[in-house]
Amino acid sequence: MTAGPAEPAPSFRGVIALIEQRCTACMLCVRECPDWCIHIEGHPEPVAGAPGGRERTRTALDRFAIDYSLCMYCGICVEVCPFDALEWRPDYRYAAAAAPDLVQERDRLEAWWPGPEPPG
Amino acid sequence: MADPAGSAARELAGAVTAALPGADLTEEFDTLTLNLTVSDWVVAADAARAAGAAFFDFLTAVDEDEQGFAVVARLFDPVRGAGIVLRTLTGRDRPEVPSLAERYPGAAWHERHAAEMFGIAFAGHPDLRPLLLAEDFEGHPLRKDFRLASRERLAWPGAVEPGLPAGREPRRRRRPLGET
Repeated sequence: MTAGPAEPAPSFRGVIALIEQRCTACMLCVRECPDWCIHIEGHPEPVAGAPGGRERTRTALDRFAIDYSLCMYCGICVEVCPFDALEWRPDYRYAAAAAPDLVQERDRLEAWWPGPEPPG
Repeated sequence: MADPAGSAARELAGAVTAALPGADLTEEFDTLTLNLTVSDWVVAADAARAAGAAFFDFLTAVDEDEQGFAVVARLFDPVRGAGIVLRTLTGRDRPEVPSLAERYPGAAWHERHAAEMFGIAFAGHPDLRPLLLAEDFEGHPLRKDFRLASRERLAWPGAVEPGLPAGREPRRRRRPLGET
């Protein structure tokens, strides 16, 4: 039997990476996920507007987690994100001994993205 | 999956509708579907068999909410190379359809699966025990009103509104996909 390639193709759906600078906590991925495996927490934060203008806020992200014990790799979250803050990556080496260790928090999700970080 | 509704398929459909005058034949996605009453279900299958549809492709069901449960079967004629889809509708309260298992032994497992998943009775089936579900399983999982046990425990993460200041209620009530 011939051995296959050592690594999967770049398009392989191994893991979902978070590009945090693009995320606005719009909650679309959370609400569209069929398995309820994405968890977002955030809060409104004041933002400087034009002088004399009204008070503006942006939503700051506190928590972004994906529970890979529930994820079925359908890609709906990646497709639905209006800001392309979620991207597929071919990495697959994140097996764990216990299901709770398959919940990846923000830092792990961000680490899958190789960069460079987008401006702003 | 379906072969295009070419002349062979129309020929087969014609042979079946000849046995059922006034039958409702529709064409969707290149497939000919015969919509039947429950009482015509076996008549149609027999006519298809007589016309050459010797191969039982599949039988399944669809939860059509207030309309009841649709039962859909496809029979295939290997000589003509064409198939026909039979569809019937049975009520929600006591869903029952005659079994095709005596005519098409291959239908037996499909009917067992439809029975356990939707709670549809197949009258005349020789052995209608569950096919895949555990013996002690309660409920019919493919019914639209069947709730997963895990959804009972888990709060929907989409109910959160991170952009809203603390203490403010969202303007409209959000619900998870599929829930009314």
